[in-house]
Amino acid sequence: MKICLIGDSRLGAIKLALDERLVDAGKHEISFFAAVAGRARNFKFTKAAIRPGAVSDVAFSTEGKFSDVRADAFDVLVFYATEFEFGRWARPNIGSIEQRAHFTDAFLAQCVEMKIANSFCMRFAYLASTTPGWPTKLIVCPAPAQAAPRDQLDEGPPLLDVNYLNAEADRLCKDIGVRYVPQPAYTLTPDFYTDLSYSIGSRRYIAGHPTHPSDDRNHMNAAFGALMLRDILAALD
Amino acid sequence: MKHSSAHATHPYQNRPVRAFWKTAVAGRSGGELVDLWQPKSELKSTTRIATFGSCFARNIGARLVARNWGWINAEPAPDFAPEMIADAFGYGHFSARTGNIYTTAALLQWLGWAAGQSAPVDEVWPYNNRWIDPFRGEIEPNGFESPAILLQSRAVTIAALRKAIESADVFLFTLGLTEYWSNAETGAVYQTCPGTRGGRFDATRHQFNQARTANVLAELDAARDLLHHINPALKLILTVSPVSPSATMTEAHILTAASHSKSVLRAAAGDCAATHVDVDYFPGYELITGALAGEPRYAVGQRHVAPAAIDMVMDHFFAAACDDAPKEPAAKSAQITEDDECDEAYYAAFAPDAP
Repeated sequence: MKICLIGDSRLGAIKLALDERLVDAGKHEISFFAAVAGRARNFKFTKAAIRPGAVSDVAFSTEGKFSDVRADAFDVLVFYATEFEFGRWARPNIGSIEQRAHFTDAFLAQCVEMKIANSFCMRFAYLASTTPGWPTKLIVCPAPAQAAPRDQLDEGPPLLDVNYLNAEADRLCKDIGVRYVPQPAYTLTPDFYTDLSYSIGSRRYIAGHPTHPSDDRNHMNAAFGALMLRDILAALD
Repeated sequence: MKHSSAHATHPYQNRPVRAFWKTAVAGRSGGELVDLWQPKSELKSTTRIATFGSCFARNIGARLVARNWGWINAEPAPDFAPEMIADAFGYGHFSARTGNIYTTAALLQWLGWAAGQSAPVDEVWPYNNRWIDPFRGEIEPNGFESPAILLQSRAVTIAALRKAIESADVFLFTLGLTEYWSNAETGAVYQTCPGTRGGRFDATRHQFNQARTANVLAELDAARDLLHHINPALKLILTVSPVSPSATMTEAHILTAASHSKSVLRAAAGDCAATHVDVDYFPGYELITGALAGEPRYAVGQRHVAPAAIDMVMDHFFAAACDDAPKEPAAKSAQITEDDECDEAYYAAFAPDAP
């Protein structure tokens, strides 16, 4: 099958995993269409294609062969990580564990639902699933949770259980006929950070593949990319 | 007719332009009035202002934010909350999630809790298998899942109210109503009548109150004492909501009852400001209800104020700033506070068909 992964710079981990043959795509032909940080918001969905707001918005696409994602060019579309970040908003960034008392479960549940439903991933997956001529195999993946060394974990446990977040995402994806592929549970620490081993050595997908700054916690390495791609391919079976 | 100044030896002779209807108001819209308000205390964009009160006060906080003024939000929504959800759960309306505080009796009750001088009663109201807070009914749109969670959430808000008072330079309170319901046994002052949204009305325990001017004035004075107990340097600005009550329990016609209620509040606010150097009155009420020229200032239904009129009111507030604060909003004006967002508007649902 011809598969296109659409997202942002975090797709670099998966592309590097493929380039370095850490994962075998088998009979599948995999392409990438990634935006420069934040510019996936500029992507436009039309009946015929997903187009960037400007050519400069495209961080990388497979071999630079295409400047948009045409509706009839692929069998599978994977919307990866864009505006779908449990790691950013489920962290207790409001402070200590006592502050969990500020928010009722009903409030948090509605925040979760709206955040997921309004993410780029979900909006574009919905448009693709309801527009004739687009692939019927659609997958949504969350952004990997932030990674942090153990000595920085002073914020307390996450506000919401990761299983709950994944269940909500799965439910909302099913509502629109889309498959949800979560971040593998074994890559997460109990307090909902990505284990640091999956972040160390992450590299940018530009010439020379330089490593990200040492304090970068949002980009994962090729080993993580390989794990995610395996799960994505498994979801097609 | 002009009089010769040679014969004018009376005190009106040297009154400023703003003192005369003919020169200050006649033929003018609210936006065309000048020199309307001279704050007693210096007001700057950096002044830290806490806002509470009836639903009209929600418009004030939103516009302070829009102009990058120092509005205090002591109980903010978490970063991850979508704006629409935060709004539905009462975040960002007032400086803490108290919901609308319509009466001075309710204000005094909240301040007593914040000052630690009294403890809130454990009363909660059942509502569709969930629980409503009698003192801030709209905070959790579908009700709390248990009384314990409700009380915990209320305690968080009381702490936030105290924090808002401690960190403010100005406490801006908008007086809304004189009619209210209380518990005859505990003395608790409810936000709305039991039974209208949650709870069960019990005529033996639930008592109707109509605050008179002396009551309101005494409660304002007591509220001022409590505020200064927490923050001795705090200044007060009082406003009166131009939004009419949605229903009355008096025998009067609602129009008459509304006029009486607003007159009582206006008189008490004025008296309080006249008595204390640290209490001021901002005439937003007059800008909406006064006999002024120009566009209608009320929205459809004649209860709520049109957004353009709220902007006009706040333009006068901002014009009083003594620094180079932005005179234009940095962001789009907040939407009007609609009836269905106003707890007290629940009464309107019980109105019989019009003849």
